[in-house]
Amino acid sequence: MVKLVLSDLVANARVWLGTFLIAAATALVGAVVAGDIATALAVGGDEALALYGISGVVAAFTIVTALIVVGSVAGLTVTLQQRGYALWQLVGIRPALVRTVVTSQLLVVSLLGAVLGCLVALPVLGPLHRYAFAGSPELEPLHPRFGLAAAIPVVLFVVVVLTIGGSRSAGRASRTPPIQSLREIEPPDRRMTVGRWVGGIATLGIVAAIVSTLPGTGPDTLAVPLMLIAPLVAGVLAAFGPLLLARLVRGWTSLVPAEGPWFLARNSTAFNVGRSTATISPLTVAIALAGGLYSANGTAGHGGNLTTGSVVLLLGGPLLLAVLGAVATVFMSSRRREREFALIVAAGGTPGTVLAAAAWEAVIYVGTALLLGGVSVLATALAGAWAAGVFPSFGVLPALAVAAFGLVLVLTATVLPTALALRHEVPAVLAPE
Amino acid sequence: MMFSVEVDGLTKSFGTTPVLRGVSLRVDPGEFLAVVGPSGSGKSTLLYCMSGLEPATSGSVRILGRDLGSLRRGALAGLRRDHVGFVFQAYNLIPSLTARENVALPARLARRRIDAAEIDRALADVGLAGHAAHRPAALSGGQQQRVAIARVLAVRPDVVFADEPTGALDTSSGAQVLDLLAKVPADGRSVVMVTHDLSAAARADRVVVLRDGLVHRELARPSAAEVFAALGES
Repeated sequence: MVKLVLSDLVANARVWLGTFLIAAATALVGAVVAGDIATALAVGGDEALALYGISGVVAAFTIVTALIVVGSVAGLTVTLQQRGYALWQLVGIRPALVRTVVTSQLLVVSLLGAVLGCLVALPVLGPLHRYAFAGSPELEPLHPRFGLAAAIPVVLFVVVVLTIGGSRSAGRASRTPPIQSLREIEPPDRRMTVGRWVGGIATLGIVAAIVSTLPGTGPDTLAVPLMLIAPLVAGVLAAFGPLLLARLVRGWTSLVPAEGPWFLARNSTAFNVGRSTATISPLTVAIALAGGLYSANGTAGHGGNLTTGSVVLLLGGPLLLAVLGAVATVFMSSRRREREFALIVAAGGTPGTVLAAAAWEAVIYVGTALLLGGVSVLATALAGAWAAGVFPSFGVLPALAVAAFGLVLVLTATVLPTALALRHEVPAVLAPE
Repeated sequence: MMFSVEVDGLTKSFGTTPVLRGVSLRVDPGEFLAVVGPSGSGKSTLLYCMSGLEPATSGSVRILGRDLGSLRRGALAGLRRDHVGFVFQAYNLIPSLTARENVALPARLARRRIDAAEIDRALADVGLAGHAAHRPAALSGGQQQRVAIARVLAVRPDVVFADEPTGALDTSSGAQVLDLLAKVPADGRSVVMVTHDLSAAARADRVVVLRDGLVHRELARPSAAEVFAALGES
């Protein structure tokens, strides 16, 4: 079995590399939160109280983001290899063993990634702490702590979330009849699972509970619960993604005339829901985080209080993780697109057509995320305005800025591998496996 | 007279391994040409070089008089779009598009007006009028091949290249696909088909037997037994 685990890791290096990098990035971001808490425990006093407050908010942002990003990446890791798992079953490997092998792979990769992320955090935490707390004479001189006791929970969190997230998908993959997996290049429809229903409804309940506590909250304390609403709503939308994503993509993209590359991109995005959800959900969270933070502060009357340092402290990690997650999912699935590109070229499409379709796909990902992220930010603004009886602030510019940044990165992640794929000869790509 | 395809002294090597060692042949308008040969004889490579999907190492390939070696990538894509159709052994269709959308794809890529009636007629001609809204995953292998042929019929290309079009099909589906391909040359279009199925090859007007990257024999309207005999010659 060890040989099977290792040879499969090598054969699908692109997919596993993406998973590994996301595990490392999640651990790195988690290490910042754990470092703050460890430092608070070590120093005590008022500084500790301040650090607990800040790290609590960052932890909430990070956990919501990590659950969505890591869950998406873990699911995609399995989805992209479903054909391989079907072949394993056809040569006699039992479904239970398939699940065991996949879970072992996830365990190994997430553990290695998490350890790397913690190691990278060691030299980064000090400079990051000084930059983020440059405006605070009490906190800036503190020396951040991050020892084994702080690292272990971070590693455990990453390993558990990635392994459980992927293991569930692996369970579904192993239960899918092998012939069905072989016939379908990618399972066309990602269905709502019990976990998604429970997670989505539970998160919606948390949002409702937060909103119900807002009226009567003073302006000084309103911003903190308010800024949690956008990422949580983004979480709800991500959970219900299979229900609404394909319809949403088909709906808004139909407003643009169906020229060749746009037509191909919109069909591919709406059809490959699993792949699209994995990219759109992290982008949605990124947009919701940035827009939600500014909307919450603006609506609560603290618009001028957000320094660059505090934004980096609160959002830097989760934003980095979300955008990296989106880029990683595109990178991981780029090999899947090569066959479609080859077919388009064989049908008379020019390399320009293929590149334009890849670019439009990136635009559709970001456009859809902007719509969903916009709903999350809107919920924040309206809840705040309702609670405080003020005119809402919508955080439009930060949301657009993150969307534009995400677009640049996702465009790079779609167009660059496409340009490389176009170097391959069509017959080699289309040859039966 | 302008040939549909004209190949002169074609060689193709992968690294230091030569696959085609100087192939010359012509395909007439309205001709159904089959290429057969043992595994590794270079027949699929010949087809891909003839269609411009694979660049030649040396020699020349002309489609309708245009030298493929002198065309830039965009012009080559345009030539394929306007004059060439493909049927591969498998994976012919874009999974996210319905059968109708797959058939209409070349017209859409060429920014030509999509004639819905023509698309429906092409699907009806291959017996799949009722499957127009189905995606490839919902079609059998034979049905997918017939959709690929419908795409070719709708575009009406001058040359159709088919690489083992019946290779992944059962006997009945394979026979249906061959019947459809055999109708293509009726109005002056040409078909070049690579196959290992000798009875399929015997449906062609001419059979080229390839061996070790060279044309070993050419047979006019042979029987399957004659093709078999030619393949067995040392």
